[in-house]
Amino acid sequence: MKKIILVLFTFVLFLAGCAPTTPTDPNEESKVLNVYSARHYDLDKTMIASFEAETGIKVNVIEGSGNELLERMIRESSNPQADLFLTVGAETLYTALNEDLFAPVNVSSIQDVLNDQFYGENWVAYTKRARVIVYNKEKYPEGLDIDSYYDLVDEQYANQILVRSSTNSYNIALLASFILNDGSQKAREWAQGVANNFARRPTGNDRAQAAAVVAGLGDLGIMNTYYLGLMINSADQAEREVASKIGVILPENTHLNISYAAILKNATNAANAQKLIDYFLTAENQALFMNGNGEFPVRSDIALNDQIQSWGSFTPAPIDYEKLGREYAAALMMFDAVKWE
Amino acid sequence: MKKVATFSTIFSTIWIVSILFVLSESFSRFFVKASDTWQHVVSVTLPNITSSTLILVIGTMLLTGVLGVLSAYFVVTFEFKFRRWIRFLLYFPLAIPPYIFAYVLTHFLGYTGFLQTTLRSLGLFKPEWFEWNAMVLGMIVFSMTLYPYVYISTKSFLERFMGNYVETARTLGSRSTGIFFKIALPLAMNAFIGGMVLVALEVLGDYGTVVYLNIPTFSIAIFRSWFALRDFDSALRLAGFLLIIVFIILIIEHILRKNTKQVMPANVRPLKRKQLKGIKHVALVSYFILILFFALGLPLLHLIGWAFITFNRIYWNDFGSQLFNTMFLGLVVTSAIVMIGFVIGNYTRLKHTPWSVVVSKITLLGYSIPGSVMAILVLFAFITLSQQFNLLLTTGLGMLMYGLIIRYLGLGYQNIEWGFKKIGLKNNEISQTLGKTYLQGLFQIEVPLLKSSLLAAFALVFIDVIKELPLTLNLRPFNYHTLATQVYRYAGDERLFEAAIPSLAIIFISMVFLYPVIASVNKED
Repeated sequence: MKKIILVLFTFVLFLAGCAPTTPTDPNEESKVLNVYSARHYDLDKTMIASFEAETGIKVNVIEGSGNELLERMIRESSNPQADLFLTVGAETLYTALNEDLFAPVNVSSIQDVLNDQFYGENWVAYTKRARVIVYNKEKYPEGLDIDSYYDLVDEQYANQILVRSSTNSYNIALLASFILNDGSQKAREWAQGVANNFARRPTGNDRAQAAAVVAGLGDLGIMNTYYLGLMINSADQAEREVASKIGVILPENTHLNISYAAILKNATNAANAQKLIDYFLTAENQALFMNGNGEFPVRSDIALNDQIQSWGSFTPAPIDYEKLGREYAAALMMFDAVKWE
Repeated sequence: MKKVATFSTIFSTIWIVSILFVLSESFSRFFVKASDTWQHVVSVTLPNITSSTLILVIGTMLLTGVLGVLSAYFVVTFEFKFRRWIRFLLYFPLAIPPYIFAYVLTHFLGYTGFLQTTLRSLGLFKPEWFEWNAMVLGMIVFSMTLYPYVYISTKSFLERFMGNYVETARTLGSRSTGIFFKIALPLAMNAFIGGMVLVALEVLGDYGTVVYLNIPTFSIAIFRSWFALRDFDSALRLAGFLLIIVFIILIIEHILRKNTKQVMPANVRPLKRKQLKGIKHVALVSYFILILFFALGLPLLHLIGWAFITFNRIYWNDFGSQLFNTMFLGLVVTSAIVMIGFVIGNYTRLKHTPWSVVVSKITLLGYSIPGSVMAILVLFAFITLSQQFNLLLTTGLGMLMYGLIIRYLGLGYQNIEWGFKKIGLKNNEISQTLGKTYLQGLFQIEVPLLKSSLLAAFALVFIDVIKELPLTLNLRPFNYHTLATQVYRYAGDERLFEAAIPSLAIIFISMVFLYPVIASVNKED
């Protein structure tokens, strides 16, 4: 019997672990910031650490996937646990705005160096990445005659296109942006045409597409510049070699994925959240995102580094990021319909 | 005795009700009107994922079944070189998370991997050779990492009970194949089915591996519906479907096991292993070396190599606290699971009512739900409770621990249940005729007999908990990092090399915890 009591006692102790934690006192001047982040990069950690050192604000972070954190914020909206939401990809924005989760964010100090596509009343992008077309420079030293994503459906590229699965959010975002800007008809033709030209069933991650291009499985790959940057700086010699052979095509209306920040409505430490946003948007840190994490700065007054410049100049696609998420379901069903697995 | 039964009944019932409360949100969707996209899911997604999920699960079960049973049988009945090492090492692949194995295998076969770079330097190369079917890769990944479940369960049964029969069969002139099919397989059937069910549940619940290899299973469909279609209802309906499938599997298991009557010989006679000679000997040793090379050598060599080249590139600052959190979380959750599993196991062996069968099956349900679905269900349940009672339940460690317990209780319970089955009720009945109470019999006589099952439950659950990702990721408090979340930070960003050091740490800790189990099992040997 003694042991049973012991067992029960332990169990009760365990349950006590679920007891309420004391909420922060709102009257006290807040030196805390609670963040839900879908960006889990070493650079973000280092940057947040230096923010803490400079401001004396303690930043608490829960990292997770953007969509799961979004569900959590919706459920917690009457009593938000986070002050600031940081994420990669704009797909969550549409739902979050619809659910009225965010409070206004202030970008007035840098408004003139921020393209108005990259912020809204309640959110601001702070880095971006391009989804581009890649080829083997050794095989095509002169480059290829491709100006647009829509050129990929040309019959001459039959059995040549390498891309990852349609479960991946970058692909869904790309097709959703076509639906949004060019209409369902044209978007569907694009998805169907690309699927017709597949070199193989979609598999692997973005890096795997670059490797497959160099391996000669197909001539054209679709991938993010971000991962190419990681490959160029890879710890692995073989991967660096692959990256050195990759040529980049920045199509007209280049598709950009944004990372954005938003302050939660009724956040306890909203002022601190705004401070961290401002910190991310300083010229110095914008350059750090570019040089340390291979992303494009969102500010237009930052000189691009040699690597990005070597890929050529580009014009971003005019995407309304607040509406992009609306087309996600349509994009996914379209992928299913054209059998882009 | 009566008190114990009442306590067990009440405790088990409370526990089951709490699980049902968490899962209820996914069943509740069957009773509301379907969304428009559900039509799409039913007509396009469901047929596709049902067939490919079945193929993956059945293929994996076949492979793990063959690998696990054959290995167990060979180790138990034959004497061969390196046997002492091999029977020991065969457990260890369990320590390797399937998603990490998938990264390693695709890298190994990939353009920048060892195989292709070597072949290219020899002038032999066709990239098409390495374009393997995703389904085949998936089956290889799961069978290489999960076969130990079958190996462990069948080996302990064979060791215990085969001696009595094999000697007789050998004197009567039976050949090894005859002994295998007529004696070993039927004897181990019960344990074998149990091991296979664990394998099936583990595959159904996986997300990391299938998404990386792009195999459209239920867990992928759930996520596509949820996040891309933004149709939470459809996602939960799919989760409900998955639960129904799992429940059917468990009922089939129950019926199969009922029909395989376990004959328990009164005296256990150790089996004299047959010394193999010549070509058979070489073939058998090569078979084991091959398995161990692929299941253990390949991932470890890769990860160690990657660890060396990334040693100076990763973020080391929290490593100590990650290590501590991983161990602490693993130990607390696992201890709770073993205790709860013990109480429920004791209840289901004492009571043979329909409710006790339901209790035992529901205990297993959590193990089959993709971790991320479980994470959200637990989160919602806690948010609902918080709002109901005006408490803040979602920022502590308790939520994460509770989630992990209901997710892995099935695994611990399954092993404890086997243990109870193996020892039967006889020992306790005898001790009661000698004047001891039921509880005295349970703790003084039966618990020592159950030691190896309890240890096995502890080690298996611990290993799963420390490598678990989606629940830990989504239910943890602020600033809480474990080794698994660290693996995710890198691997989720396609930085597989940088993920090597935390992965190796997980594998190393798992091996340390597997060791006492193996040692205790080998002592019986």
